[in-house]
Amino acid sequence: MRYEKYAKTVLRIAMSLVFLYFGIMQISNPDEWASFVPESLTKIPNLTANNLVMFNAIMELTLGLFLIIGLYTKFSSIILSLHLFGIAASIGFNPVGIRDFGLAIATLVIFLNGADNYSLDYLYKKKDLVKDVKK
Amino acid sequence: MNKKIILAVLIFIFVIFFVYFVRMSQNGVEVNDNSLGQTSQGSESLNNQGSNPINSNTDSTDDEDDDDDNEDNDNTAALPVNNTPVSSTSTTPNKVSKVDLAKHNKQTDCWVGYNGKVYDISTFLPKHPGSAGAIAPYCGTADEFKKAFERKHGTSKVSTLMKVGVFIGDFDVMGEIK
Repeated sequence: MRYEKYAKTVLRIAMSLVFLYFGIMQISNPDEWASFVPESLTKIPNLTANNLVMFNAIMELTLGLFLIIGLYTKFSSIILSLHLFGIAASIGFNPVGIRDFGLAIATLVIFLNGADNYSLDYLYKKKDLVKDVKK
Repeated sequence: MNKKIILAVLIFIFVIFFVYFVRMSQNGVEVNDNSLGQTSQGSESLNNQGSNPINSNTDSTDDEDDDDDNEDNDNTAALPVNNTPVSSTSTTPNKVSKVDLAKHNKQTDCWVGYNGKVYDISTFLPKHPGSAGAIAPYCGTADEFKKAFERKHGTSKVSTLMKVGVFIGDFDVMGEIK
């Protein structure tokens, strides 16, 4: 296939945009997202639902940015994937939960693929190889 | 390898600053909204003396509904600044008795009591994301509404309730501490 080489990159960028979008939404409307925080977590002293939403937003934005430029691709994708699996499990068997499960699988595929040809990881790896050869 | 770590740290710092500035800018907007709201309340109270406060607040209620779409999160902006208390059928000015509250138990005329305050949420009811039918059974109630509301939303939507509802007055129950 002619465009096969772009498949991994497209998936990585598309998924990172999803995480960036949700991260920004959580920052701008934490109240709206607070209702999704499991009640068990809000029982921890000094930990409000809004704080958890903000913490989650920072994590999603950071790892989303890592993913979009292909930095620590495997690490970012596995963390985000496990995170989404957790969300899907807490939401349960309904349309939103199924959607999140699908997104978690897609993110897991990025982890399985590893760094693609258009990621920073690949670029650094290539540079290191060149250095090693020169040595 | 070192370059990767530096880049990762820079991205993290960028995100922290980004979040900080977004939150700060939103807080700034909310403060401005509050000051504007208080100004308009002052002018309204001068211009609308003797008129029905609910009718005079129709426009402001629409604005608040729009705000609900954005769901800004400042609990300090909770009390509706444009909502002037009603006193026509109350036992004392700004007080709404349980009997008065119970009269407004229809979907088109829905008052609810929450934490000692009574709100008219008739205009919001059709816009409720969980359908109007989810709230309708609790119109004209205080305790029942509060239980159902907190069971569904916890306390995360209290500020929204206060924004979308037109503040009617304090809930007046003889012998009950509010």
